[in-house]
Amino acid sequence: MRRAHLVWSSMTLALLAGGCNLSSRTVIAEFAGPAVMDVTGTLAGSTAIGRAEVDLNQVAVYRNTKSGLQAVSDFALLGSIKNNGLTIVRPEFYVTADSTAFTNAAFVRANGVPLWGPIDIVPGGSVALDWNKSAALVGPRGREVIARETAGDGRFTIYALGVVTGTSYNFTVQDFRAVLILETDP
Amino acid sequence: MRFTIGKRDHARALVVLALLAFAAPVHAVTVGLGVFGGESLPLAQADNDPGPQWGVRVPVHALANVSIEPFFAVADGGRHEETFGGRTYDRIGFNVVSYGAIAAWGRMGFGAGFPLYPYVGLGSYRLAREGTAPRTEWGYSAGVGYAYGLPVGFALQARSEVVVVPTGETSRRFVNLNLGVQFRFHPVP
Repeated sequence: MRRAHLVWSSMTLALLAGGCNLSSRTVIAEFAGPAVMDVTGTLAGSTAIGRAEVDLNQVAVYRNTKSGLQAVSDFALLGSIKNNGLTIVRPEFYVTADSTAFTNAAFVRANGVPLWGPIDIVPGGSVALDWNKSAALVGPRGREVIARETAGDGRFTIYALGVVTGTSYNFTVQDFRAVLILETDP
Repeated sequence: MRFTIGKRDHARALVVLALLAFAAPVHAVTVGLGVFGGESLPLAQADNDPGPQWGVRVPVHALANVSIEPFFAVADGGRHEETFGGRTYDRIGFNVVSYGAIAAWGRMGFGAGFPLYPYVGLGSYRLAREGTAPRTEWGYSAGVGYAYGLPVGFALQARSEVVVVPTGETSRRFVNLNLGVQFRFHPVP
């Protein structure tokens, strides 16, 4: 009987130890970026870059859960990317903490951190981003910035850049969305 | 489905085994083997939908009122659909691989007795899905089972349980509902 009590006591203590986490929940926060972002460039450098200034405070889910926010468990970029050029394009996304307004890719790469990608899109092709694959394309450094800024003031800037695979690139990002899964304990 | 077992998992397994050692036989031991299947329902998780669960159990009745049951279980969370900007996307659910043991107050279908039995459990839970770094954590469970004895050593099992997997300051929680069948081997002297 003593052994039975030991087993029950151990299990009950273990359950009580986990009891502090019983009120948490996960929620999905969606930030809608520009409907269209045209990104172009040549061997000489970028001629147009995509920019989405994210302010999560505009997102009701984020505002309502921020006080109990514990972690960003998942982050993804959604939308579609169309290759308007004649060579393979290689879109990638960078992030800078806070609001920035860089106008060329060299400045973004020098001051931001890689966030997502790259992926290859054939000439004339269009890729609808998959939520699962997109989440897997988020890099560790970019994920850190997103987590830090989400826990902070909720502001950061995402840039869409191209990588030259031939002599130029030309692609369009449509219906851009930044989607976060937040862990919160109200 | 992929999963790996690391050093921390081994440590956890040792603790579970140590726990089982507390329940070392006082009298004869009755050992069984069971399989089960059912549904795993995520609680308060906007990104994870219900999905199937299956597993195996090894019930051991060694004490007067307590049965110990090591288990191995796999649950696949369902795909969660959301519409963003007029497009529909889906996020794959968590694949949850767990092993551990429960302690039940009752005979769990081993011989005559009250058919309902409450139980608590402790185990290692590995949550993984594409695009999210996998994590392995201790998980805790509590539930109620119902055993219905059948001839020649078989018994049907129906269980409902709540599982809590702490993930830092928060947790992932599930309600598991499953049905199973177990076979009782001859008592070990």
